[in-house]
Amino acid sequence: MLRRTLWLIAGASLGAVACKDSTSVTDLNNVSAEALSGGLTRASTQLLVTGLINSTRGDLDSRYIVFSESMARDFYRLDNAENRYITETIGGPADYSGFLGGGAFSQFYVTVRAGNTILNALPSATGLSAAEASATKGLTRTFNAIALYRTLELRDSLGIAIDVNHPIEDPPAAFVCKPNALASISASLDSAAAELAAGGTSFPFTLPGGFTSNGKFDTPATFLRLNRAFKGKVELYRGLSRQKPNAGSFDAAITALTAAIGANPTTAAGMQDGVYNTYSTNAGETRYPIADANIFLNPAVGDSILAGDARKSKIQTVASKSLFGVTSTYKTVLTDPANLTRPAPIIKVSEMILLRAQAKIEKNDLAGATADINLVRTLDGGLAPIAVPATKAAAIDAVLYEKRYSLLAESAQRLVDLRAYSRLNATYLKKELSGDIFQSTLPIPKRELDTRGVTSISPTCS
Amino acid sequence: MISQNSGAPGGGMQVQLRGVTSINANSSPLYVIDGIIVSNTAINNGLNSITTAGAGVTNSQDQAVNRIADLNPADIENIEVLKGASAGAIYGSLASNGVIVITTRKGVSGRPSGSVTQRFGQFTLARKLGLRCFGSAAEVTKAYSAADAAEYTANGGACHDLEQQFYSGNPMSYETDASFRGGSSATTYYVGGLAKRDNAIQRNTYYQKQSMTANVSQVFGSHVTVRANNEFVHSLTDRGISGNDNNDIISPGDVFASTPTWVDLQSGIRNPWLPSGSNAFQNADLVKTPEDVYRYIGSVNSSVSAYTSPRQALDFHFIAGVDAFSFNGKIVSPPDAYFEPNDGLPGTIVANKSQNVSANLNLSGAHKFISDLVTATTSFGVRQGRRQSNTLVNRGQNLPAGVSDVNFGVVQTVSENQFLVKDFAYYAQEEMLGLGERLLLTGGVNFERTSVNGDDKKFYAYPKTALSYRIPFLPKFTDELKLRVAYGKAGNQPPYGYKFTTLPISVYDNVLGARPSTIAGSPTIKPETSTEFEGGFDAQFFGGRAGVDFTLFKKNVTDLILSASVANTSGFSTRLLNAGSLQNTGTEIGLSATPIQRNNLNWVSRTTFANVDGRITSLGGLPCFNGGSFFSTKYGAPYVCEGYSPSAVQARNGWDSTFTSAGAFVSRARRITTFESAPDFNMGFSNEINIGPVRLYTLLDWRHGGKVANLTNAYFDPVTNDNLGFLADTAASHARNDAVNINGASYLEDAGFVKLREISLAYTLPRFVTQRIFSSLTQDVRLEVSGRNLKTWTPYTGYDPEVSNFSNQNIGRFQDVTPYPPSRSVFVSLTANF
Repeated sequence: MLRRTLWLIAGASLGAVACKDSTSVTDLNNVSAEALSGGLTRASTQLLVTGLINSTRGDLDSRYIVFSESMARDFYRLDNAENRYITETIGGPADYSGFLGGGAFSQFYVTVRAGNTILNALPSATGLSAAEASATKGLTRTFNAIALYRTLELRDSLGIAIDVNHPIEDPPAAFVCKPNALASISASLDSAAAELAAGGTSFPFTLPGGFTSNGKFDTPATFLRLNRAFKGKVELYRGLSRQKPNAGSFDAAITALTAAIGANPTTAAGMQDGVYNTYSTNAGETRYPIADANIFLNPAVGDSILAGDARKSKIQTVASKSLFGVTSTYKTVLTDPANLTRPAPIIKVSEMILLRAQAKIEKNDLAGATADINLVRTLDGGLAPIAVPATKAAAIDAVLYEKRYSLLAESAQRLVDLRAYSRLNATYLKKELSGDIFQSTLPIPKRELDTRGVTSISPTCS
Repeated sequence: MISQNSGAPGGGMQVQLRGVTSINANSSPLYVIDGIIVSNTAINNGLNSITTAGAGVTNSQDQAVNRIADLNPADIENIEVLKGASAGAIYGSLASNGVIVITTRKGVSGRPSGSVTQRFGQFTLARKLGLRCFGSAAEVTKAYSAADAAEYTANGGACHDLEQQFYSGNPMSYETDASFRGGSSATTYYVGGLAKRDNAIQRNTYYQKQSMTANVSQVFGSHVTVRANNEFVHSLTDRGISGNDNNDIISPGDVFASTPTWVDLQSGIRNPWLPSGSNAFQNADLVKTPEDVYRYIGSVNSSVSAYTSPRQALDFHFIAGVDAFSFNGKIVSPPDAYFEPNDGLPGTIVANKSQNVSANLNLSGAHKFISDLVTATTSFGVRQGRRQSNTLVNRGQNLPAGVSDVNFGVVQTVSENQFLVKDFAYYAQEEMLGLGERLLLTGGVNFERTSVNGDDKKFYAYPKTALSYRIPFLPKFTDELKLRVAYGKAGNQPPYGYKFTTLPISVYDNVLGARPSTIAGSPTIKPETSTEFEGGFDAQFFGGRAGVDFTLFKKNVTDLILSASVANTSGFSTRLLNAGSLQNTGTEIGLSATPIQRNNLNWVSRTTFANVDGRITSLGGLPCFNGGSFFSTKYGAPYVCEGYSPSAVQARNGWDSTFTSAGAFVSRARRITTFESAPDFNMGFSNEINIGPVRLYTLLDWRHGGKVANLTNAYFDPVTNDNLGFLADTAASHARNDAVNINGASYLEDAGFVKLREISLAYTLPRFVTQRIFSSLTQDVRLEVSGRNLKTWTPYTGYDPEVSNFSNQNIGRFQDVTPYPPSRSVFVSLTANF
């Protein structure tokens, strides 16, 4: 009797314990991606577009800027804890398995996937008009193109992967050579332009303050200027590409850049018009990426600026600092560690004008190029205009001077130019350290090679 | 294998039983105290907020303590280590790394007895890197500049031993233990208490702990026994700053690597050699990093004897228990610390509150059947477990001096991280003892489901079986020979959240944005499965004077939970999935001997040997990858690849050049060589000699082979090879630098060692002296001097070859980045039993 009772108790409690609690636990710390499986709504479009633009903001990070500006002889990052900022930029080749050689790569593809997530979900969106969907598509495609262009800035002749909108189970997208990548990015910017043109009068979401702080770029029609600016930039380097240069590119660049610039600015403030990344120290927000006490300027930057150049205000003279075999006495206010909210341009009018000058030089329109150079030189630099240079090389010297000081610490533009003009060598530049090989690109990261099961990638150009 | 992650006070130990058993899932063995599963989690305090060693407010480089260190060793009666799946299968998907079963002390009926121990001791720096003294201003000029030579001269050409100054001068440490036990025939009790403070070697770092234990047992009538175990622990530790740092330079090792010895850092001056002026001495005085933990571990264990006869017995057990702790971490780094303004936000406070609960219910029955041939015991039951935690970290930056509340920070960062796992299992086991109690046959199975699996309703089966036989016909001098074989399966649960692909949320200009995670979760994730065979024998000779136990094992882990790298061009970084397998085979030998056993002279010696040979047998078609946490193959990175050991390390090691047949140079490619980071074998030698009232005990630990990536040396070595460098042995420093510049693996160093872990000498006072000095109740009084880690013999040039920058790691333990140096200690203790 006792045994039977106990067995009953035991059996009942076993059953009770088993049935009582639900077996599942949801993800307590995150929003699940399954939230999007029902298709895009207006609210989730805003969420994803802000995520994409935030990702684009994140791409303009300290690694992208510091690595490229160090290779371009603008920066020394002197960090006692990390010599690779020197040894792997101007001291020898970058290690493709380390943070430097393997860096400034994956982030751009994360942005592209954020964009592709929107593009893939748009066809089933509800609550968006056809025009709004088109505008959304145009903006997304423009940012995807910018991300791929930035990838190419740092990898250049090594090529990049373009056709990446595939499920994770599929084999990785093939690398394409630089001319093909530029052609593809250019075509994508054109599709985006057409979509923006069909995009009605406003976007179905709000954009961050940096789209209206210096000029207006927050409607499909005005956002088109950003698209055209990058179109011009891409076409210029398509034309300057030594491998398979594209004949029509310089004209296309001048047309696109003129559309982006609009009427030539007449004030210094007008030169600063553009789309900006804005930063904040609020919780969850992103801070200005290169507010960094360890960043010094390559002495060439401080030594070469002309007397009376208003852009000298960007340069500070500091106590001499020597580390890892290099010495500097200059810093820039652009890397002031105390300023965590300085806006940073994605592209601004002075860059567009100088890009147009570069295209005009290649068209042998040195007078037109000089007019553009002088526009920046007088408004940004407060300097007297220069006469039309006698040679193309002299005109290139002039445009590179203006670009260095107007666009300091903003992007990889100087690395791209030195490379495009074959000036990244001992003829034009000082050998910084004994191991300096005038490195012109970062390598394809080891991780990318390993995951593809290859030891090198050399895309061919058809 | 037990390894200490750093020398910081309060612990931080990794226990690996039978090799690397997982790449990504939990690495710790399961700890079970009195039938209750307890937490061995490690909570990162937020040191990263000032070191920026990695990303985030907290980071795995925070040099965390794993919390099993909270226990009071004096309360432990017995520790049983179930190394393999064959023994631990009953714990299902928690047992793949082995199970450590701890039984706490109980009361005994009879005369009340007690024991009190008082210990005093001192921790000292066990090993130095050795810093360079500059002999003359000319030497400084040659290495650096005339300006530096002038600074050298202005400092009187001093050579400050920064290591000695920073890692010494701490006060004495002490520990008081007391315990009492006793009881009547129905009621027994054990009460224990501990209070200790370790003043550790690094300036202003310490560990203190108080604990109270009360274990009470009561028999009701003749059928019911109820036992309650309660342990309450408080620990408070400040481990200071150590380990990796990036921005700014604040880790002491990094500061010393950046500052020549003529600078008097100890005076607290602004460091002229670092842009921010960071000075480790000032940091140690101003920056506080206390971790305050309150922990309760308790259980109620009831047994009901339902039926008893000479042939049969039926018992029921009900165990309910809880392990709850609250972790209160705080980092207070005031704005007047020289380095603080460097990030534009002077002053940092991190408040880290973590609540952790692990609760268990076990309901089981056991039926025993006794016949002339066999005794058969059938057990069955259910186990329900729930583990949860909630960690809320607030960081305030840019704050006024003198405040300690996080809300004063102008810039606030909040993060909350939760965790909840529900486990449920049925189990049944049959044990048969027969053939005159010579044959023991055990078989059991555990069916378990857990909420972290992709399919949280599916039950996974973990069977086990074991057979042992005591041989009846023994050779001469042999007392006993037992042969045993065992087989079993156990699992390792997917880490929490692996089944989800998330949509991380961010903020841009006060608008929420979302971008798909770069980690692709797996909705079908399931536990890793270990299948283990082991066999061996235990033998006793010469009337118990000698013994051998010998075990061979083979462990296969399948369905490895991998975080597979995917091509970054996909926009993902990793994909979580079950794929691949690994195999560990090994030998464990224990030899014990009592070479001398006379009336007042007794020598007991024990030697252990263990080796594990691990091999990744498959990666399920995935490419090989550098896994875990690491810096670069320049120094040494964990390498996961089919056919290689799971503890393999890859390092750049020169170039392979190709030439034409005519001998002209064609191309060169970087050569990467694979090394083994884990030791070939471990041996332990313990000896205890008793001569009358004197007892001498020694414990030596020998680890043969293995590698450590010494990034600390890379910090100190010059980048360009002239006369630079701050290590005393500048020639060796330059040689390393030369080698790494031509891509040699010069920072991957041999890490084998022999350590004198313990040596102690005890003297038991004669009874008549004891009773005269103390009271007549005193049974015995023992005086002991013990030293720990007094000596290490190793070719390793860093502080300690056991180091792990990323704390507990399945793979990639072997990285040394300016760690907290190891200490040696000498303690004097007095124990009185009464």
